[in-house]
Amino acid sequence: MREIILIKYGEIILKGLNRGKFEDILLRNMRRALLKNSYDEIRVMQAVVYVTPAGGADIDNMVQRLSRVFGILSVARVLVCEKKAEVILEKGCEYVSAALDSCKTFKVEAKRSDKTFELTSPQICAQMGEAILNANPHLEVDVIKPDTIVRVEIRDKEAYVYADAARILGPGGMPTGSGGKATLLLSGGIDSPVAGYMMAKRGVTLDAVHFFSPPYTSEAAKEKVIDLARILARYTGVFSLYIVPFTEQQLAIRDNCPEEHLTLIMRRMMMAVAEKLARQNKDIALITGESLGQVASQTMHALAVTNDAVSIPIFRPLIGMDKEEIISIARKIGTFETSILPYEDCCTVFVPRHPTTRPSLEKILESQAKIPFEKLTEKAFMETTWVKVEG
Amino acid sequence: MIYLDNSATTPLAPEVIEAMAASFALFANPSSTHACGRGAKKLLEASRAVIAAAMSVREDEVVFTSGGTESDNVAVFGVANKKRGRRVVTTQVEHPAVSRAMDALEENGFEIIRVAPNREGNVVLADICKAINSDTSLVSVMHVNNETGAIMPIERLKAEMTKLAPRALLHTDAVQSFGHVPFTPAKWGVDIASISSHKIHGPKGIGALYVAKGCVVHSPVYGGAQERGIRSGTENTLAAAGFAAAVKLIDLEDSKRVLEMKKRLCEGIMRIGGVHKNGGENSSPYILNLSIEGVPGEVMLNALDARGICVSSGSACAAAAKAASGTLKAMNAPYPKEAVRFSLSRYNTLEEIKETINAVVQTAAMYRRK
Repeated sequence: MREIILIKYGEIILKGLNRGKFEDILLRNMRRALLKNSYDEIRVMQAVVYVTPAGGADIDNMVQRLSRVFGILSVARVLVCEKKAEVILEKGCEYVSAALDSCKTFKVEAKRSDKTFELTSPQICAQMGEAILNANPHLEVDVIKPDTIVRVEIRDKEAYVYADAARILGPGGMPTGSGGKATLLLSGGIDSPVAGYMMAKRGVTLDAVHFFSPPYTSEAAKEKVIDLARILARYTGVFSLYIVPFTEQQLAIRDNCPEEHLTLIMRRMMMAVAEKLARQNKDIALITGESLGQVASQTMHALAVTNDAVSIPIFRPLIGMDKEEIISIARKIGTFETSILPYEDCCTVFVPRHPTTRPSLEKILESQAKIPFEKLTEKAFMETTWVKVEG
Repeated sequence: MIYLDNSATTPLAPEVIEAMAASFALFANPSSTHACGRGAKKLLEASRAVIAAAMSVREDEVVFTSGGTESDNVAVFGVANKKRGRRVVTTQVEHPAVSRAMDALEENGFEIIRVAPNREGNVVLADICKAINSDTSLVSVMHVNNETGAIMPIERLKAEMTKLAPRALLHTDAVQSFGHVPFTPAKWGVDIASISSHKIHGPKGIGALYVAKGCVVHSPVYGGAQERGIRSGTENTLAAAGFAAAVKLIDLEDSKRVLEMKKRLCEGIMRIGGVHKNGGENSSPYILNLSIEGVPGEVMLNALDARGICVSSGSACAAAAKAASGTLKAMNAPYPKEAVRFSLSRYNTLEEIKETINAVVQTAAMYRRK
């Protein structure tokens, strides 16, 4: 039995004259997502991508990898068979049976690009439908609203058979690399990996930055962030994770600034360091996992104060989402279980008991003036190291 | 690297590695009666004899298990029995392997009395006795506490119990005491006791129960009835050989040198002031628990980690669960979140102790909240 993988892509279809460019990026990302030597050919025909697996390749694994590539709507395994009516009916019917187990109704749709084929499309539908009904007594035909559609395509050299029910949905969105580059502030929490995912889904290429404060945060906490980045990289492809040592800065803020302003001054400095990194990497925006009102530093007043620290745009894809919505995405993309590992407790050393929720920029700047903000920012930037993160 | 987390686990002794390497070929099932099986059986029984001798008990009173947690579970669930008495007496400072098992008993209708320790972490004999009534079927008190090293009055407990509840059985979790302080369960009248191999430089995955002759255990583990039917399952011959090799190395004389190191470490750190010792004199030489005011335990742990010194904040099991130490809370320790546990072994040196003192003193100076 020979199979290929058939991929439908989403929004790219809507693109006009530059659709080719987007397709090229998508194909590049697909090649990167697949293991080398696992495929013989990838080609596009009429907004459908066909991947021919190499002999002996693990097709399930290929499908899984492709189903994480942004821009892809669905991935399906397809039976390739000889262009003879009897073969198509017998092998095709057998092939789709497993997928039909969970369905109650179906219909068959046939397409012929080879008009010399022995049967017409309606004939194929009728005969295939009959074969499937005979083999699967639990099924009924419903041509209006079937649970699934069995598709038969007669091509120039061979025929394809598959059932929609066996498709795996992709993430949709735009291919990574088609939407500019930005720097994600990645903590060990639930939100920031989701924010990175959401922007990458819109085609954005990521860099990431993580602030760590040893000995207040542990080596284990840093490793957890690298693990999170790895999960993210399964979707986005390889990216750089910048690691900023931030203890001295946090201590300076804690020891010199009013307690209720600690978090905001810290956030402002993080943004300033991230901006420097972004500019160095020619990234054009920052991304954070902030969601309006979630904590004291994420009220509208607080976000305005944070924004003021930098001139680069800050994207906050979770801004209007509830925690539950964010968690459900985190679960779907597989970062949740890692995010909730309990390593972050030490950071509570720097959390004020009564943080201000309606800060005024004026007062924060006054507090911030008590430390050499620029110098500390520069120092953190200079001491930053990086690791390459692969999925 | 300086390793001061020996209560979590210990490195394998070189002699243990050798003994295990020599036993790898004896793969057979000790229950098989052919030559291969008999060879494995011989090794298993020789290992059992070594462990029995170290506790001064009979060979047939040693039952191999997979470790301390399994030993504790089998003991608690296998001995508590409503027909003999609904009450079970234990302490507030047990290892989770016992305390969580007690919670489960409680859900099953047992009356659990959890005796509090004093300020030094020791549970006083009189307090335990007060909790025992004639309806008591099991008393389970650990011998040495895993967080503070406090030694409990197991030696004299059974004699007192007999007066109050003649049918009650005594279990002790001796995981932190076996090999470190004198432990002679038969002499003391203990009915069932848990020990573990990896706390004394043996391999992980093996432990044992001392089960006094005549003590009936209704084991929750069913199967091929190995190990007197108390712990079914093919015996881990290789690990048993490693365990025995580790036991052979036990020398209670070591504890004098270890105690010297513990004292040095304690005095060296106390000198900076604002340091509270969690535990008193009646404690294991191998465990020192200090709270350093103004430095959270996690911060000290991370800072020492960065300098290649391994310690723990609380016990390793509680650290993973991120709960504040129940033991320190129960003894009303003044700074439970600032607690750091240093646990020593005979392989530590005075040089390492000095280096650790320096590192702690410097860290405290750097990170203490002004």
